[in-house]
Amino acid sequence: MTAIGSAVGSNDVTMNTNGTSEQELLQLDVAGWQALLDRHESLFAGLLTGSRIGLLPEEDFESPAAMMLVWEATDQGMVASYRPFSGFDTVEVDLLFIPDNKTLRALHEPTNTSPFTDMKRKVRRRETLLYVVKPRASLLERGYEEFLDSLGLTFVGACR
Amino acid sequence: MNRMGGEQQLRHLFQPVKWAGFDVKNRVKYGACCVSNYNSRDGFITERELARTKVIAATGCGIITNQGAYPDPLGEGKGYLRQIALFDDKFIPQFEKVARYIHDGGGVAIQQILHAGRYGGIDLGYCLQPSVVPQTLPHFRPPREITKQQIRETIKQHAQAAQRAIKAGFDGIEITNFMGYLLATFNSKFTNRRTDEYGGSVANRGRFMRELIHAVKEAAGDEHPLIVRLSGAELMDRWGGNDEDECLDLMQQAAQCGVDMISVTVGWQESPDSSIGRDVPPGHWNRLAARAKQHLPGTPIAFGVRLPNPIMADQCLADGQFDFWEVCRPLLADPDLVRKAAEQRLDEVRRCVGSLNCLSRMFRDLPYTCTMNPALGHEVEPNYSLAPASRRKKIMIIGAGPAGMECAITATKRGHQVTVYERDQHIGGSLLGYAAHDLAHKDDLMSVVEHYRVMAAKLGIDVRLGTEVDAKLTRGGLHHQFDAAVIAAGARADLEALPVPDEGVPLVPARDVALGKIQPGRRAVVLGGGKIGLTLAESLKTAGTEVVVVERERRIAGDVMPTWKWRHAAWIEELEIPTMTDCRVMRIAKEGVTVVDGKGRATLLPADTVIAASPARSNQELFAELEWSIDELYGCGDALVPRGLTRAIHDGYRLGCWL
Repeated sequence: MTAIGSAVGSNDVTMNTNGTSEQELLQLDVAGWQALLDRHESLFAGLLTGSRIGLLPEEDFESPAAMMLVWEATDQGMVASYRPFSGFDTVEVDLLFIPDNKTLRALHEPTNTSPFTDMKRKVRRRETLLYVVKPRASLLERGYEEFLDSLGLTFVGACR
Repeated sequence: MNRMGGEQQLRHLFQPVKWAGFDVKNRVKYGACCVSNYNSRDGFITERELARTKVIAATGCGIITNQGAYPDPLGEGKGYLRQIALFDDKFIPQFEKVARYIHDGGGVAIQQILHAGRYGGIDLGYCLQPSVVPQTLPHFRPPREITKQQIRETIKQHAQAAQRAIKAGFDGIEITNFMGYLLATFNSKFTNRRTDEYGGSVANRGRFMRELIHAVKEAAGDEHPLIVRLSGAELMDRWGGNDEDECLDLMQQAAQCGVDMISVTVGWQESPDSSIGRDVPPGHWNRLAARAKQHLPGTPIAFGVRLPNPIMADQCLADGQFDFWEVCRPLLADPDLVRKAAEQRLDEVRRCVGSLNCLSRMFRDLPYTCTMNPALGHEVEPNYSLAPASRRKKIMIIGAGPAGMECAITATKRGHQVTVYERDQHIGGSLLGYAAHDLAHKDDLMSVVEHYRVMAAKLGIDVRLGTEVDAKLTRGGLHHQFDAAVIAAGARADLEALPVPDEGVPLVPARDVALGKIQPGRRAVVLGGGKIGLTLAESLKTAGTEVVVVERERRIAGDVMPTWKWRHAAWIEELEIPTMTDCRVMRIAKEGVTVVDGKGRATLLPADTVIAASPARSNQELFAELEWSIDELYGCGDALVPRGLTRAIHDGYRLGCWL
């Protein structure tokens, strides 16, 4: 498995005919991500306006030009956009997922009827890392209780 | 009792050794056991803790490490709500008592200094780390980067805390790199992303540790040994943490600084793999200690991660894999473990079953307790002690499950005459069945049943198996033979809460399947996604039965210990067992079970066996039968409220102390 900080070069990255990686295409496809959020609006119904979830491809973690997908709760519902990721000091999201390309692809796939299942499973197994950027109390105030609960993160690690 | 026999049998474990100038009576080190949470919010040791410490001091360990104290007045190092403190001289008198207790018990007294780092700042809303790397678990605080000035100050605070411990009478000091505490965050690539002299290469990352070691050694003085706990494996390399070679490198750095012992630990709180639960086979991590010993032959190595068995530990010592068996949770479960080993009474040991009740409670900011040791943390309370009964009574106990047997053993030790009636042909109640289906490590839960069997025999308790106490038996005058009756008849699946099955369709209680009274077919539906239903479903699927779990709540594992929920969730995923949550059972028919979800959609789940695992209902019918025919009538365990093993054991013990 690729560790954060190791060189980019996963076999999961495939190139299409014009030389653009599938990963790059996913990054550009704001409309596709928006469609995903629209299809699954109810999943984010509890989030307060201004709540933000970030997704940073694992392969881009160390890249100075990394772009982070952001899902933001607005008065009009969840909105997808891209923002630069320049490190933890400045990241303005509540939660930050670090999925690999395969997980991102599964999430983005329009025909996937339960696109979040795979990512949730990987988060529980800690195959996809989730950084909890904001304090727990703040997350609860913003309506993340149900979301965090569904991830089943409560206790893992050495004290198991 | 044959004390010499046990010591000869485990001669490596009981071998007196000279360590760092101290005569150590054996090679057992009591681990710091994390933090008890028995103390005051402002870091003072309570009477409850002191009573507990007396028990620890009497365990017979050669070296005893007192739980970690945070060293800074601000509380950035405070990781637990009721952690003890050593940032001021005002704490010294209480530590003097602790050191004295340990010395009175013949142990070498070590005080751990614990700056919780990434998991610290519990009262502050932030934590201190070498770099800003956010938490990956939601219950810890957001990080702030430690400045160089703060590094110097933190090292100084550790040194001052060490001096206070020595002044209080402790023989030595321990600092800890365990699982994400401050030292670990400097050592690990995962959290140390600094670009100054404290970050980058493993030598630079180890700089904080080396400076800390030098400062503490200087403060404590040459005659007072320093132990450092270091990771043999962080289990964080998937996410950029240290690999095992880097861990070894850091141990070498510590050894070169002249530490007197390295205690090898495993895992971070955030690591993807478990390290101490009962799903990890005993001895699984021994290789890490052996590797450390091989590379650092001149440095004493202590180890005990998922190594609960003194016989295995003795063999490891014989093989030179490490120098001291560091033991913690097994001594929470049975403080007499070392003594029983010395006296060849290992069959009487109450084993740690890896329920992780202790840690589940700690991370809820509660005092820790132990499933197997109901008195733990209550030593200061007289009603938890085994005082001789003021009036010897004849007691009938109905049910030989954990609650009944615990009550029987406790009451017998106090002098009562106890008879246990059990309708089945075995001791252990439902636990026997579920232990047999536990995917983790069957031997752990089975050891509870075996403990009751052994103790009943040794104490001469009259256990009448295959004898159901019912109205006929009680009307026959049985109850007049007793002064008191205890109903510990457990619980059963509440079939009346489920739809009446179609004619000729069996609805099978989970207990009967668990105990092997009923063999399921090829395709089963388990009604109830709590611990009983999940345990059974996982086992049946492993044995080849196709299983679906139906749960009324929105999540499975609602009654499972917080530190074990992930385990069931992972098994259910790995075994690909479908779970239907937020579902109600509408019909149980020959072709299967029809369920309706929260949105009103009906689904037929084909099945040849329908197993009822929940809801549970207490077996309370005998209360009415006996209420007017016996002087004293009590209930305990699931017969009162179905809650599971821990409450059953604790209820039984408390009642046994009280009768």
